[in-house]
Amino acid sequence: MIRKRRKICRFCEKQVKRIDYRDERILRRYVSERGKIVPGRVTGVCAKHQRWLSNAIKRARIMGFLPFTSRDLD
Amino acid sequence: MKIYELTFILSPNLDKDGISAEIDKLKGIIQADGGQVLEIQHLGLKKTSFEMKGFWQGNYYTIYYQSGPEVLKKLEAMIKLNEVMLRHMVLVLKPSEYEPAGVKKAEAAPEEEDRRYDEESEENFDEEENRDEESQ
Repeated sequence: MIRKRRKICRFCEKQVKRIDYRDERILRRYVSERGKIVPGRVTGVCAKHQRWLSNAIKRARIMGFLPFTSRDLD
Repeated sequence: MKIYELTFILSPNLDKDGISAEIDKLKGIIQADGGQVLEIQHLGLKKTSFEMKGFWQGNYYTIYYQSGPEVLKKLEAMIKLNEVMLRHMVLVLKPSEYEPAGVKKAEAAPEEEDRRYDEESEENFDEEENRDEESQ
C-alpha cells in the first residue's frame, strides 16, 4: 500500500493567530454532514489548531452558527 | 483594561429604530463606567441552526470594547432581562487577537485560495473515511 503524504495543517500554513467562532465558512469545513467535529487525523489539522478549532465549533453551536446535530439524513 | 468581544443576537422582529436603541443602551452602559467602544459589526440577519426563543433567525451584532471588569456584570444583568436579546457571548481577547476592521478586510482578500482548499478538502475527507473503514 502506498502511504499517503502527511497533510500540512492549514492553520499552521497560514499562520493563523486565532480561529474566530463567528466565521461559519471556515468552521463548516471541519464538521461532518451530521454536524460532528471531524477528527484532525482526517483533515490534517495539527493538535494545537484542532484544540482551537473544537473550541470555536462549540462556541459557534451555542450561538446558532452551526447545528448541534443534523437529523436531515434520517 | 481588557478588550472584550460581545456578540449578541437580536430578535428579527425588531425594526431599525429598535435595533439602534438596543445598541445605544449597551454603548451607554459601557461608556458610563469609563469603557470605550472600539468597533461595532453587523454580521447580518442570519438563520439560526435551531430555534431560539421561538425564532429561527436573528440579527447578529458584535461590539468590541475596552473596559474594566465591572462593565461586564452590568451588561450581562441588562442582557439577561432583555427579551429581544436571543442570546449573547462575551470573550476576553488578548491585545494581539484584536484586529481593527481595516486590517481584517485587507487580509480577507485572497478568497480564491480558500475555494481551492474547499474542493480539495472534500475529496480528501471521502478518501480518508473509506480508508479508515477498510482498516477496521
